[in-house]
Amino acid sequence: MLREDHRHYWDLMRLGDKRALFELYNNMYFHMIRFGLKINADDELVKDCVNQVFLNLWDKRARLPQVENVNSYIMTSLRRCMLDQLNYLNRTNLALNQMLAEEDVNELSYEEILINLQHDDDLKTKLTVAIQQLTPRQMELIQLKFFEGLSYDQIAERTSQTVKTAYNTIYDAIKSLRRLLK
Amino acid sequence: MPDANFHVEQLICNESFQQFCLGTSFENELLWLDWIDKLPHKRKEFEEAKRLVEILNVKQGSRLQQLQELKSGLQQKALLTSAINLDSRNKKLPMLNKVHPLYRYIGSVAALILVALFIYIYNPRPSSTTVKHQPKNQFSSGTSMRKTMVLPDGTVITLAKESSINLPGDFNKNNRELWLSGEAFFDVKHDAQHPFIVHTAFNDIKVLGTAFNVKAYPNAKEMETSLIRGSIRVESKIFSGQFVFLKPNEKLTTNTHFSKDDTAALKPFTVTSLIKASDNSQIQEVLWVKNRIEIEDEPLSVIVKKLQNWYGIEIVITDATVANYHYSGVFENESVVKTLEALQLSYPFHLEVEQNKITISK
Repeated sequence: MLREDHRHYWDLMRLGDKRALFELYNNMYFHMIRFGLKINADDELVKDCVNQVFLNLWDKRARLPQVENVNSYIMTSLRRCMLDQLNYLNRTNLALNQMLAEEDVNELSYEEILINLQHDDDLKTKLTVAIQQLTPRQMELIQLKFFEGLSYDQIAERTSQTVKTAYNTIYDAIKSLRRLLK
Repeated sequence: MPDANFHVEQLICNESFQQFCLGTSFENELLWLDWIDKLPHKRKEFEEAKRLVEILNVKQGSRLQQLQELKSGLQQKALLTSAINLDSRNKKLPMLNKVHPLYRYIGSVAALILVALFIYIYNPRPSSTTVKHQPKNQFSSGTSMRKTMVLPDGTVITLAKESSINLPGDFNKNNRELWLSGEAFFDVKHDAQHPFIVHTAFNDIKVLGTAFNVKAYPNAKEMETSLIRGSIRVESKIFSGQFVFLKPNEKLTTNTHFSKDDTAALKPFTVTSLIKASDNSQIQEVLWVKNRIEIEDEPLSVIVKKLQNWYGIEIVITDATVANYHYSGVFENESVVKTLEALQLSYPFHLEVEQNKITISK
C-alpha cells in the first residue's frame, strides 16, 4: 500500500509537484533518521543529510528515473550522503568505509546510539548505569516505544501481551530511568 | 491529556506527548503548548519529561521543524540558482558543471542561513516599531595590543591588534550573532537555546557555550579557528554545505586563497591538534590573550591596573575599602572576567560588567 503511494508521490514529484516531495518527506523522515543513526550516532549529521537528500531530489527531479522501490532508493541516497560527509570529515578510515558500503551494514544498536549521542560525559555514565538496571523486556519495550515509535497497541500485538501490561512495563522502566538520571 | 497533578512519568508515557516531542503534527504542537501555558507552575516537570523523551528517542528531532528547514532550503536554493543563471549570462562559469559536488551542497548551507534568518525574524522584539535597518555597532582594537568587551549576553571577547567586530543593533540574549574581522578570543556564555554565531569572510562558526580563538584577517592566506573548551561547528561560506565539528584542542585551518578550480587537489579545511609550545606547555594560539599574573600580597587597585593594561578594558573600583583588599596567588585565564571571579572567591566584592567597563564595588 505504502509502497504504491510512494511510487505515486515519486512520479508526481518528478513532474514538479512540491507537495508530493513533502508527503514523501513526512512519510520517510523518522525511517531515515533511525536508519542514519544506526550508521553514525550524530543526530546533527543525520538531520543535515536527510534534508540534503531531499534538496538533491528536488534539484534533479526532471532527470530522475522511474523507480520501483522508492524507499530503498532514498535510503541508499541517504547512506551515500552520510558516507561522503563522514569521509570528508575524515571520521572513518577507508576500511571502515568499505565495510559500511557493503550490503549488510554493521549497525549500531539502540543502546549504542543512546549512549554515543550524549556529549555530556556525566550523562553518558549515568545512562550506561541506568540502562543496565532495566530488564531485557523493559529495554525491548522502550526501544519499540521511543525508537521505533510504535503505539501501545502495536507493541501489545507484537509482544503478545495486553496493552495494559505493555504500558505498565514501560511506566516502571521510565520510573527507574528517571530516578537514575537525576 | 493528564490532569494538573500529573507525574513526570505519566507525561513521558503519554502517546500524544511523545508525538509532540517528535513534532509530528501542528495540531498536536499547539495542543500541548497551550496546555502547559495554562500550568506555568508545572513548566519544570514538562521540560524534564520532554528532555527524557528526547534522550530515549535518540534526538530524532522535530519533523515539523526539519520540514520547515527543508522548505527554507528549497526556497533559498531556487534563489541561488536564478542568481547563478543571471551571473553566467555575463561571464561563463563552466566549472559549475564539472564541480557538481560543490554545487550539490549549496542548498544545505542556504538552509542553515535561512534558519538563522528565521530565528532572527521570529525573535520577539521589545518594541514593534523597530527600524528596518538596525544600526550596526562596531568595536575595533586599532593599534592597541588587546581590547576586551562584554556583550549583553555575558560573552567576553578580547580583540587582538587591528581587529574589529560588528554587532547588529539588536544583538541581545536571544539574537547572538556578530561579524568578525581579524583575531579574537571568545568566551561564550552558555545558552543551548540560542546559538552564538560568528560570521567571518570565509566561515561561519556556530557555538553553544565555549572558549575559542578565531584568526580571520582579511588579507591573510589562512583563517584559523582554535577550540579550547566546548564544541563548535564551522561552516564554510565558499564551499556551501561543508562543515566541521571541532573538538577541544583542535584547530581548523581554512585556506582562504582557494580557487574553485583546484577543488580536487586541495581541501578547503584542515583539522590539526593544537600544538603546545614546548617550554611551558601552553597552547600557542591563545598565548596572545592568556595572561599569567603572579600576585604576592598586592592590593586590588594594583592588580586591577595590570588587568586593565593587559586586556584593554576599563576597570573601576568605586569603594576604597575594596581597593585595598590584598590578594596572593597565580592566575592564568584567557578572560578578564574569569580572573576577577577567581579573586572574588577569596575576598568577595561586587562585579558589574558593562560593554566597555567593569565596575567593582562592595
